[in-house]
Amino acid sequence: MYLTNEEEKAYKGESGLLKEWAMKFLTKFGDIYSAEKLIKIDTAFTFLPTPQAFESEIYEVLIKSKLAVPTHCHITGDPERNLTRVTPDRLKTFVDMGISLTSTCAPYMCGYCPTNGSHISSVESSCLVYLNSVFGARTHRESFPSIIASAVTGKTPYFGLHTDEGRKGNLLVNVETELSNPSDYDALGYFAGGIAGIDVPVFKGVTGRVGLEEFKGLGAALATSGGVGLYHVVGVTPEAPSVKAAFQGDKPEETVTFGKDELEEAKEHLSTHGPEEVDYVILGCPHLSITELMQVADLVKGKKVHEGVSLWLLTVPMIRWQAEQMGIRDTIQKAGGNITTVCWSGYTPTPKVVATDSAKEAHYAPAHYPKTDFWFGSLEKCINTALTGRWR
Amino acid sequence: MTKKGMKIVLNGRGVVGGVAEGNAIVLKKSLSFWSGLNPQTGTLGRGQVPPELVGENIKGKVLVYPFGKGSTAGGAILFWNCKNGFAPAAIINQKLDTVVANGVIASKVPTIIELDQDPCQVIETGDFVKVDADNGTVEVTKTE
Repeated sequence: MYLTNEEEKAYKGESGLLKEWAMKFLTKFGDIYSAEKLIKIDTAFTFLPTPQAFESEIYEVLIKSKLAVPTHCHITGDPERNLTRVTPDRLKTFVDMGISLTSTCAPYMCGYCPTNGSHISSVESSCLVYLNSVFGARTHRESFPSIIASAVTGKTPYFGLHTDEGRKGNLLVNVETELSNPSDYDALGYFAGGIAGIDVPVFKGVTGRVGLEEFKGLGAALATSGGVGLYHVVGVTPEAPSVKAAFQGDKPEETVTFGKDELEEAKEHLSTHGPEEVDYVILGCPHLSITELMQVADLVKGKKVHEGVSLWLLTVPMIRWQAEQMGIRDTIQKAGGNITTVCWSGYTPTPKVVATDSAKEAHYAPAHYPKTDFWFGSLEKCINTALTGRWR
Repeated sequence: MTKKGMKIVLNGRGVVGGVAEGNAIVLKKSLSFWSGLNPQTGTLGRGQVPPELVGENIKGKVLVYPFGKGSTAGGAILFWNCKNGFAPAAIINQKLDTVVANGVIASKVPTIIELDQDPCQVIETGDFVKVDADNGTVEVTKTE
């Protein structure tokens, strides 16, 4: 890989241990994918650096260093519930590094909106697929340590999703059924991700509204059953004004149909079909938007969550504040619902039967709760379940 | 038909070097280390792998699957898993997701990709596998 003089110096250790480590990692990473060079990134979105994820000598230097680009960070937790894993001291350490706290895996709902064509580095499978596909920003499916190596140097190897060619569609998905709510997009994503793998799916035939909530569920599911980092929706997302544009003039390598049967099958697959009596209803993976919270408030207004059922609504801290100002939080709390800012897995006591509107959670949670049953369905159906205590 | 003791050699591209051997764990479908691998025990998770492999420990095994998918926490999970003493002997993927690339580079797990035959078909769970990631070769000894 070609390195500039400055990069070469860092590689040789002349700019300190941390940059040497970062540069060595990035060149190794890039060489695997035949990257010719490194390119500059504007911003980064990372998980909170933890000692477990790094060699200790690197971690010690890292937390005393300033990052090269504005870096946003997802810390899970809820200070109101004493569920924050980060002490105020450690928090200050990260702020001093130049890290801003989004406290959500969906920072695109609270101001992290990189522009079309910009090069960035992002983790969080559901977030980066949104930034790539909906905004047209360009990022790898970053992980630890590449995201930190990128943030430390302000560089990333130029290959894959950063290049025009790497953004070309491979798989054409003909959508031949009506998608009537965001959880149908979860189901579509879950279906298509299993076929696309780590390739780029292109959706044709999607009619009706495709907005924040639909994109949020579609991308999260694509990056759950698959490792999709970018998708195109013909006539909707920025790089797909036409089928031809999405495939950059080439033919799709594979074509599949998503009809009524596939929709039903994907939904069925996401439930474990256990007892109908539910004790937890958990919505918001990725975090709920203000529109979704308003919908919940409308559905529960003047009613009560059924005895023995916990209703958890997961959202961004800023959106919770918004809900509070609007009186929605009060409506939901009076009905017995909780608005929290945590990520679900790992924070709730062990539930018996869960209802969720998230394909991502329905897929992953069985590993964390080996004896729990799950129901997957729309926000309306989940709220109805919270009010009646039964999945019907 | 394959026979017990029969040897098969596959050729691919080594992306993280090293020579290692062990019995294979073969997944026909893609894997996310988040939820798929418990880094505190080295074991595979419910709903992420076939039921008969849930709870299987990857320590010292040659882990064979088509490609990585899912959560981007995967790189850190593999690293942490290896730090905890549950490193697999080697990883064989047909395609390399960038999340897996992170994990294998950081953990220095010998890794081979892009083999000349589908490793998830040729290799079965339990087969004895020698991996030479410096030269990109995989020698499979059938156990059944």
